[in-house]
Amino acid sequence: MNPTARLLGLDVGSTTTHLLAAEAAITRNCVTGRREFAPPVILARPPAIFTPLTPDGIDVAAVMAQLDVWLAAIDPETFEAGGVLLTGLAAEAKNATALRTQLRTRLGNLLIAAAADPHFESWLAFHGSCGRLSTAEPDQPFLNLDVGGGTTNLALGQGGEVLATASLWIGARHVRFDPGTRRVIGTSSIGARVLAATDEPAKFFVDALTAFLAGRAIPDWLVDAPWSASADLAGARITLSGGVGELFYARRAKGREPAGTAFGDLGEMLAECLLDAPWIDRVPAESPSHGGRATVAGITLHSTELSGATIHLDRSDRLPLTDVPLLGQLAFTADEAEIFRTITGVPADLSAVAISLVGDPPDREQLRNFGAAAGRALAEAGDRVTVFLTGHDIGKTLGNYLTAWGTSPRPVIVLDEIPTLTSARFLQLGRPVASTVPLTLYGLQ
Amino acid sequence: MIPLEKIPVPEPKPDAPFATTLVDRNFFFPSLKALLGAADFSKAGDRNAGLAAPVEVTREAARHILSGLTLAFLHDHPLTDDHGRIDDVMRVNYAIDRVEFDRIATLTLGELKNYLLRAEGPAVEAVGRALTGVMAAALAKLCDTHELIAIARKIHRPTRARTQIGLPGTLSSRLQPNHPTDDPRGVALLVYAGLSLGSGDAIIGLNPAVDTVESTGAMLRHLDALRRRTGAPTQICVLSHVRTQMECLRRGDPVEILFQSLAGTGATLTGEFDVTIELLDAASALMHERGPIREAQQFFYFETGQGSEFTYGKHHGIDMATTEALCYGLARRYDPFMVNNVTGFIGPETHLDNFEMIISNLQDHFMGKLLGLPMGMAPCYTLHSQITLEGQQMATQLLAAAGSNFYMDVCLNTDRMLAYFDTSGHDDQTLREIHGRTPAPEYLDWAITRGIFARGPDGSIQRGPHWGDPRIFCESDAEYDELRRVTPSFPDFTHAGPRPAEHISRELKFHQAAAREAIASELDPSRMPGIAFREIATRATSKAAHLNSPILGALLGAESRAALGPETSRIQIAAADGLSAEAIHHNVGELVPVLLEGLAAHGITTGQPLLARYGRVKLAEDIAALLDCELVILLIGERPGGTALASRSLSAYLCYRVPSDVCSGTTQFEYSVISNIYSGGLPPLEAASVILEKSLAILHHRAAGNRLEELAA
Repeated sequence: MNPTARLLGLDVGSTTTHLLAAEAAITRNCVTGRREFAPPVILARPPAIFTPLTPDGIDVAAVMAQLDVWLAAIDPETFEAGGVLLTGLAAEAKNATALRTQLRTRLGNLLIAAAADPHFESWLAFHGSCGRLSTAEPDQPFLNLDVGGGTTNLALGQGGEVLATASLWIGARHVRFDPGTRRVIGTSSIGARVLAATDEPAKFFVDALTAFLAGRAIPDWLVDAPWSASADLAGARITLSGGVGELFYARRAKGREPAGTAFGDLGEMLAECLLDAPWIDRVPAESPSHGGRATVAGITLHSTELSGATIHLDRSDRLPLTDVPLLGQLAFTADEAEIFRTITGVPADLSAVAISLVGDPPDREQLRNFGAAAGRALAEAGDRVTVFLTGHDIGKTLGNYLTAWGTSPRPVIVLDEIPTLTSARFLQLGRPVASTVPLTLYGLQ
Repeated sequence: MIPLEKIPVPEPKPDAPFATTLVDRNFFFPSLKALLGAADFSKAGDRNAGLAAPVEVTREAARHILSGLTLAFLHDHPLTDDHGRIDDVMRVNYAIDRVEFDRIATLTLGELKNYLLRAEGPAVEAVGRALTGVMAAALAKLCDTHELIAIARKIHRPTRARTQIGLPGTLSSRLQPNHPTDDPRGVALLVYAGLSLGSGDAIIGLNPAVDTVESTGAMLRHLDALRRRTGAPTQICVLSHVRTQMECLRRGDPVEILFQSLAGTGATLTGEFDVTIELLDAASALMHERGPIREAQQFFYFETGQGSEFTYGKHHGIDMATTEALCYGLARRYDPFMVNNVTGFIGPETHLDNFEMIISNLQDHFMGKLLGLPMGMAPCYTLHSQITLEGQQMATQLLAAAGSNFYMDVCLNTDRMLAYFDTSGHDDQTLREIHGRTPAPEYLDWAITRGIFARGPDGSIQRGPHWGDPRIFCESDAEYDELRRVTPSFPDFTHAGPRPAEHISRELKFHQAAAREAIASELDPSRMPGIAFREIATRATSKAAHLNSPILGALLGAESRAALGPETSRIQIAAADGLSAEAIHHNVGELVPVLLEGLAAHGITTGQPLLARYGRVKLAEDIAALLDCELVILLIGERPGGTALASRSLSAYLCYRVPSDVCSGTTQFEYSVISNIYSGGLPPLEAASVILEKSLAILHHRAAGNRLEELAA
């Protein structure tokens, strides 16, 4: 039987908070030879709650109480990978750090807490929403719009890979109503600026989104994060996710009707206006996966990759490691000076750093020379853990050369067969499962 | 079922010679076993066992004598094992219809053949019930191709589970969705592909990658879910050991049909297959009591094939056709739902070329049907034999004429786990169209509702609009693509009539050709400069001798034996071509220097590497004993399968001499294996460290193989 890993995801968003727990077998794809997760089995998907917000920020105690309820039947210690995400208004809250600290304590070192990283959030939503569609139609670009309470996260991708991401301050909770009425009971700073300009905030938001998609200028204060890379949206099919995305598909399915404020926010009005957007014919008939849960599905099911099965781990049992900065790149053909500079030239206070190894697979001499030179540099790096990441299947032998066949033990980890080395800034390494290490790359900004 | 001990068998008699004079020439055969061996067509296994007639006139002289022997004579001279005893398999063969036997006992085999050619089907079937396996095999050796077909086609042997197979006018198939890692998605795609071709009405049967109760149970439940999802009226099976399946059934897993491989000597059946008559009797009782298909009248699926007894060296001097017929005499005891014959699977040591494979298949089908079995045929081949796709197709055409109940559907002929080539769903449909056959009636009705088949205006059955489209069983194109992503050797699934489209045939045949080239390639030390090999030779003196005998390559030749003696190194690295010299050429140059470097760094002494032409895995034992080292790391080319790149795949056999204080008695060897070493699998640079790590573990724990895994855990 294949070994399995348990995955846990928590998304604390502007409007709602979701939890998803899943279990996936670790298999070897006999076509590509890579380790990968088999399609997961969902263990728990409790109903979402409204994120408890107070005038001072997040009600940390309420979030933690809810987490206790959810985790009553689930032991967080048994989870190998996944993540916690504080998004939108939740990430902006004054006491977000307090929440993050408590979550870290409660959930141990298993999970990352990647707060306020709009590009990562967009990336996750893409994978949770239309990753499967995109993989199935590799020639067709897809643009996912994850419209939530605080932000709309945009991600353009093709063939299952995200090409560019962006984020706008467009969301349902910027204006809050007395539920069922049009009486405004609160606004965010963004909401206040919108209401100052128009009586139709939902239409204002959707018009701004349309303009952004067309490459036209929109107010700076609506832009949370501009496109991370040039994004050619022509020909892209559009999918929607997030809470508003779910309302959009529901309205499209059952027919148009006047939009109310049953949820006490702009959600239904935004969904209604989206149905009138000029790009609506680019939204395919098939609904994407996970709807309003795209982000939590993304962080639970898609944020974790598996290393190869023949890797080098140092003997000191240092895993898991959290928030390891990815500081540089090296080719196997790099000269000793460059190798030395990259490995030793890092801030002294860092306890762990990662370096990605790029370029063609090395031949024997290149690997041997690189390993020996890098080994000499590592001797200067003290106790700091250095993690090498490579796409090629050479982890164990590189580890042997780095440590002179184990005769010079050094705090070094080599993870190989990492399929995508994105422009991530940080990584999280889980505990080894069946000779592989689950890892999450994040911090895409 | 008659208890084993109550089956009457005549007392064994001393060997008596047979002699005859034909056209002034004298012929002599020292025993009945020798006579039976010489009377058959010359086949590699019988040649290697020293049983085949050296020339055609000798064979015909043997047939001449055999033709004049009565059934009573064969009855009264049971063949014995190496100790002169009647084994259980032989005993079971004597459970015959005594009334019918008394009626025909005085007939000579020649007279019996004439009778069968003249008789109608029911009379032929009645005779079959009165024959032992030895009698059926002797008769087969007197028959030419037309006779093997003409007699067999008179016999119909329908059986029933959810479907009734073997009815006149039908041609069924076992869908074999084997996947190298039992990936449920890959298995699902191969099931969908087979069903879309109209295959699988006999059974959906998976050879699992792992034979454990957990794995077998999981795959049974997966196949059951696929069967229910598609609605296909058929039955499922996971071909684990019978004991594993019995445990699964007791746990409540859907063991609908119970599988087991059979052998024609007790020594092979028990010593190699770990099966006894008592176990099979118990399995039969369990299935009758708990088998989940209520309408089933039969419960067993047996597999057999000429040559396994020879390959295991447990044939007792009995030829391949006769031991095969003895399997059928055993199978008959359990009234099986299906018996599948896989003659050709083992390789050139039993069947060298197309003729040997085809004639054996026709004999097997004839003998099985005559003995009352629902025979299905899987004429198949490995790439290191000289059997080809075309020979396999000729066999199926002849077997379809003879009325074989079913064939295999191995998608596009290429088994993705077992590295051999079998009949495909395309082949099955082609045969149905040429010979005017249909699948089993229950399955046909379902396939028509799914558009896989259609009924023409004249009532004829044609391919329907969805024939060959596995997507009809998927919820979406995305699901279909996800399944394809994890399924090897599934390049495309387009068709031209009942055949794969031309570009697919070309791709498959090119891969086979490239793999055969790798097998034929000769070891060339100049392609591995930088490694100072000591060249050694095995007892195989040519590529042909090497491929056709599993023994010659396992022993050092006299010259090398004389040149080597005890050395002081702990580990000896050796490379041998095995079944692919290309695997050595493409991997060893990078692997060996890194491995030597690593061993030296750990202070492990190694001898100067050896390079053996025409070597087999067991050569490691000869080297270890001769050099007196603890561990031999033998790098050897794997048997090429269906892809050109993988024909460069190398295995490392780590052969450990178990110290006498760990394992008393004669020297024993334990093996750990690291396989799939090539650029598309485990790259040689990385493999060096994996081998190093395993070698250090072996030396540390003083164990290899399963014992090492247990100790290391």
